[in-house]
Amino acid sequence: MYGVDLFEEVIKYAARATEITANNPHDVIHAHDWMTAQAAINARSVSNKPFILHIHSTEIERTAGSPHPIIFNYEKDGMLKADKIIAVSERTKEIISDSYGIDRNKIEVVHNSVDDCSTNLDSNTIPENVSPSVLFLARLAPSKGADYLLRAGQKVIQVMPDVKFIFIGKGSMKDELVDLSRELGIEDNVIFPGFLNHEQVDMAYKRASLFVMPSISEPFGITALEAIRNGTPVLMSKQSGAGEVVRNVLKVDFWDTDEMANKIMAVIKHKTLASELRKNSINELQRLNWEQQTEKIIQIYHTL
Amino acid sequence: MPKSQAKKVLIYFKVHQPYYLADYKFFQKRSFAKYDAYFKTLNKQNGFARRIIEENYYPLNELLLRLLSNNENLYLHFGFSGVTLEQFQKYDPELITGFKQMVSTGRVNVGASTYYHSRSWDYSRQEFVKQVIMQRNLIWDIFRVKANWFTDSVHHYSNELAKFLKGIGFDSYLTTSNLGESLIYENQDVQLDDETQEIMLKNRFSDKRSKRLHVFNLGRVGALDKVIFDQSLLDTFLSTTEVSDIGITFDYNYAAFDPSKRNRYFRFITDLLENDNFNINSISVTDKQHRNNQVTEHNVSSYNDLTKSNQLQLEAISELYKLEEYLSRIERKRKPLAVKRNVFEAWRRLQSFDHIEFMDTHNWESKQNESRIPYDSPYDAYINFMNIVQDFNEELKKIT
Repeated sequence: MYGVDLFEEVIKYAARATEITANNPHDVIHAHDWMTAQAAINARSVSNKPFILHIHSTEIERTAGSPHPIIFNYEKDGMLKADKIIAVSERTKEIISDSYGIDRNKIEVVHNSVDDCSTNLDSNTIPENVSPSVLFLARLAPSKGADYLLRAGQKVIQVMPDVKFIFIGKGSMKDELVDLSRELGIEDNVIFPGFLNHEQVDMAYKRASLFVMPSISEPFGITALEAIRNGTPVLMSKQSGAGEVVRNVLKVDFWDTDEMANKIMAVIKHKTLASELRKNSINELQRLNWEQQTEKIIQIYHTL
Repeated sequence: MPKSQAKKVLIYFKVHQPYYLADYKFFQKRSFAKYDAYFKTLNKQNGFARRIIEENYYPLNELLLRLLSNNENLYLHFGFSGVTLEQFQKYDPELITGFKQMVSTGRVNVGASTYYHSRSWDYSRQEFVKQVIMQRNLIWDIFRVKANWFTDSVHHYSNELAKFLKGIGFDSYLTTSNLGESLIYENQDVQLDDETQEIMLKNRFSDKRSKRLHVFNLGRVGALDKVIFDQSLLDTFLSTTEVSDIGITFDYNYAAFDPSKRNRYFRFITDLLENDNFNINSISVTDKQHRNNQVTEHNVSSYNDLTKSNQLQLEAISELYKLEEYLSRIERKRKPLAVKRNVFEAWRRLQSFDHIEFMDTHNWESKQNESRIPYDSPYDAYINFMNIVQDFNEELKKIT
């Protein structure tokens, strides 16, 4: 998954941290994920300031339970040595505690948010003549569960042959997914547009009947919030952290492709369901903002 | 307790379990040999309902039987739905035996209602009447008593409904809340064709207009728990309030999944029913001396608020009642009686208002924590219900 270069870069960065720390006065060391953990450990040995490790995703989750041993060790070492760990969801907190053996009292949860929650709902008007579409947006990696969505898609298409499935993103699984869509006989309904820019992504959200995040394991899943901001109903796996902050979404076990298909069809079929989900999830989202979350992090700084 | 000694208390127990819906996926067509395909019963496979029955119904029956035999002045009111009694006859006959024992004391008064706990009055008067008759017949068959007062926790109060009920022989009408609000009732009378009918209306706890009969609508919403479960708070209320009569409703389903809350609930019932400070015996919904002011439509319009239902609920219920057209056609045609019975039974079981209440998007998380909803979300409840209604619709089209 990662080239040798990446590890070299991580080691170089960690070495530089010592020097940077010595020359720049500071009060806390706030590092993000495994790549900066060693740098933070070095920094702390110089300044002896409190060290916070902010975990956005764990190797356990990224690899669906088969972690790269070196990365896992970097992560675990950072977690053990940090004075405080911030996890992006309760779900991630559980994993840090269960899979890395870290004391739960050391872990605080601060959920993610989205920029600009003010959305003009009227802007999301899907033209009547466009065929319904289901949107996926993530790295095409095993932990993101795109293959489960394809399998559910096959069941949907058997009943609703005009539904399109759009998979935005790049990744190691691309070829495998293309093959699978052929194998399932649904290649005409499936589109892989690759990587899109911000505007194109927003447009894709707005055009979609439903956004699906079928992750096998998702620390948070900020794209779900972006979909809501764009007025798109969301179906996410029960294994996603974002479900802790937005309740007005549909949820399904990632492996339950029958139920996934059932829910996709329900949203496409029942306009009332789509509009209630849209309305209620936007209301929820508007109660979230980054300022609030930043305030929580500052509070954590003060406890150290 | 000088003041509360004069208080009279009406105790009402609500007993209702619907036929819960089977999990029904849109594309998984099942053969509609019988309406069974759409429903779960109270059998062992239905863990959700079984738990409520085991944790609440059996112990509550035992408790109430004991309290009734200990206190000869204790007088209780019960509202059963027909679907509940019918399921108990099949799966929990001991409960039926217990209820019969209670009624045989002569101090348990059983009310009438719609058989399916439906909101049929708002959609089909003909259907409403049929369900009320079915219910009254079942009460007679089981308890050998005539239900001569009406109890209802589904419909919103209206003078028209009250008048109609009076017209078909119900002298008293105990009407309760809409979609799960904590409410208290007030007792007022309504003038109907020179005769009076007793109406017990819902009212807010804090509402100063409540004059005579208060009913704590227990078992609906957690917000009143503090007041309800605190005996001293209740005593204070009773001793300071100007009202002379107080009514309290209890839900047999309340707190079934929360052991500590359930214990407090049972203890509260025990304390209340053993309390000597008020006379539980002396008030009855059929007691003609408790008459009060007239109810005008205007008085109650604020409680008659249909806008509380969300779009999912409104759509679901209207789709269901649209099917009546097919059913009437089937009824008129020459079809085997079994076929007719089958489709009507399915349609009526779907009318149990619980299915619609499960789609309520307000506070569903707290309700779910109390496991009062057998779905992960109100959206899931809607999807499952609509899948069944659509499937049933197709079946009906085939038959007609």
